[in-house]
Amino acid sequence: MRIGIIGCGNIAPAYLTNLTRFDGLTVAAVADLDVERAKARATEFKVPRACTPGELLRDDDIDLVVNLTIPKAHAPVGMLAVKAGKHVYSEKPLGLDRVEGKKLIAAAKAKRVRVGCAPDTVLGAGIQCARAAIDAGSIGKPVAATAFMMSHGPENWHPDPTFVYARGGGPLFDMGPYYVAAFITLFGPVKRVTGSARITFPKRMITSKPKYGQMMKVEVPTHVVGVLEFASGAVVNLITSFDVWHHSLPNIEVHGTEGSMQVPDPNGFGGTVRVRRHDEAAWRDLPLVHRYADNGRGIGVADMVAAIREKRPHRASGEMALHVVDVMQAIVDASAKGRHITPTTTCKQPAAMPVEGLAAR
Amino acid sequence: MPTNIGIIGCGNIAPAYFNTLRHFSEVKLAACADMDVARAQARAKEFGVAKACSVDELLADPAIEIVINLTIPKAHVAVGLQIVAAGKHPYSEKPLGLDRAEGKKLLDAAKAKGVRVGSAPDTVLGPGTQTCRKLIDDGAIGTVVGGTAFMLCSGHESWHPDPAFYYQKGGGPMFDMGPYYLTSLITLLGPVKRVTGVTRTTHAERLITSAPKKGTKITVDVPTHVAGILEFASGAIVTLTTSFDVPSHTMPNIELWGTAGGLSVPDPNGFAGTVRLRKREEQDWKDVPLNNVQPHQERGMGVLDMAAAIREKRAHRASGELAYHVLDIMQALHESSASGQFVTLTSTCAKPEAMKAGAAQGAL
Repeated sequence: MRIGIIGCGNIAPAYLTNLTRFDGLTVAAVADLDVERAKARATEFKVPRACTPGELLRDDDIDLVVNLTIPKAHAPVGMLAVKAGKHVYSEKPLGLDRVEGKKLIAAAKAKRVRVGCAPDTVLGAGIQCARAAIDAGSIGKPVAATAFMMSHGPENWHPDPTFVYARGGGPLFDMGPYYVAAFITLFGPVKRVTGSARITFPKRMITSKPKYGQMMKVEVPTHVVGVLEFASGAVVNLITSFDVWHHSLPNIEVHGTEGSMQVPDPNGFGGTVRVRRHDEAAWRDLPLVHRYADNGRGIGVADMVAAIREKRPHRASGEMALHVVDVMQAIVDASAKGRHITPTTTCKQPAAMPVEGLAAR
Repeated sequence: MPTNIGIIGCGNIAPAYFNTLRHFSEVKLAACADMDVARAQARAKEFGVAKACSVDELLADPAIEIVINLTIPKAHVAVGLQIVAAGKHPYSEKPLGLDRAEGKKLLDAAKAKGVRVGSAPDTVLGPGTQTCRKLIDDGAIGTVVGGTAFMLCSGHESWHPDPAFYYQKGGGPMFDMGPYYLTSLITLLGPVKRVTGVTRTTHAERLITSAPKKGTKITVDVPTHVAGILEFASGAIVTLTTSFDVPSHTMPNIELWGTAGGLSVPDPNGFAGTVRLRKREEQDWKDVPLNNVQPHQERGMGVLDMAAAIREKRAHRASGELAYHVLDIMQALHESSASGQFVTLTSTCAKPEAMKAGAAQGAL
């Protein structure tokens, strides 16, 4: 399958490096609004063609578009790819809201092309080890879990952080997809959502270079507290925040009927999975036996390519990504409306990854 | 002239009160009573209390001013109303009542009679919570933005000799242990404005593994996992999760995050514990020494404070108003899950006065 990448910014190198490792696909073209940037990536990663996004979309030889544009362009560029009869795999989030996401999924269905979406970190060794251990009953049935993604925001290191506090950003939409996708991978879809969200500081100061001292207007909640009820019965506390200086909570802890598990940071592929059954005094580290413990952005694309060939569902699916956006939006809606929200979307729990991974070159 | 105190209910928790109060000359344990008078007599002998008697005899004694109500939760309000009718101030173990309706009945009756209502927990008057209160008041972590509170366990049926009541109306993890956490949070942050909650009954049946009822099955009538979000009037958003379904975990008791740092608050079911602080610019969490550690900081501090408050004509800290707000919150969390609606609370309370550093127990 021939892949074209639109968007040659910060995340493109990871994809370009990893995609060359998989069987059955080749990166045929890279595109960017800034064609010079596309040309530079093409040279760096030996891609045969560098062009404009329009040219890439009109190229009949491209079967699948990898969409690495900024969040607000994800759905519009995705729609163009679908209209051109191409499969599309987007970075997260699928869209800025569920309306954009639903439109894209519907358009793809009508055109009989597939939609895939990051994160694919959840296909990495860390989360897959946790999934395998839960499936094997190592902690019994999951009853509850906690997840904390809390910092004081990226404005002290990111050179241009204004977009982080604009619509489509904030701690929930920026980092939430990793956590919600991880839980869907471990437990399945979400049944009901409640939450409380707050803009703690209406303005924030940039303290990184080169824009030190500039004030940013905050358009999205920066402290978001959610409680997610999963169809499986598990109840999950999820807090994402850019207003916390220090805390001492684990990233993700799952509490089951027979034990507890600490799950690695879902914004990575490896990490450590720890388990303690109730009759055990100490935590045990589980060995990571699955493939893809290093930065493997692109696995989701490779799985999608293989799935198309094998006529099976792909794991990092548009349906799941839409459910992720729906759930995140529901947390904020619940807070604003003063009632729990039942998502109108759902998705299947993605299949677990085989230990040996996908076929490689 | 010491304040005369009577105790009704000489069961498991009574010794803690007897042991604390007998050390303070500001109060006198004048009498103790129980439905089982022999039990009252045994306690009286054990703790050197002059009079053991029936409940009616205790309530008829004109010298007694405050009555500590250590009956079972479903009797708290009924006995409290009797105490009020006798013209005495009730101080009850937690919870204030099984629901808002009966809690309100007690507060209204007391108001009409011109007597005060006090309620446990008074653990928050101990140096653990109070050291945290002073740190917050002094601005150590700035304005509190958010936090978490966790009470997660596997239930009490592995050790309590008769645990069925934990799984019946008025039971469950929030009504059982929630008062400690809510009272601590209100002591630190003030009252709560709105809540949303999620509840679940994870297991329809539980198995008693303690003596003497080992092997008996309990039918579960109440939620056993309650995850709530508390929106404080101050703006802080705190999650409180209580569960009887989680056998092991590493969650801290209470952690608060402010604009100038983070604070780890000790277990509110105790008087002391470890306080840890990490200010914004600091690299590590540091243990903070507790303020005002004194002997006999145990259950009963709230009664001493109430006796002093009556004398000094000021508000007492472990108040019925605070306990009612706690009850309102707990009921609201359950209602919210069932209805799918957030609940804006109709009750409120004042943040209780901080304990004064260096003050002896009786002069608070």
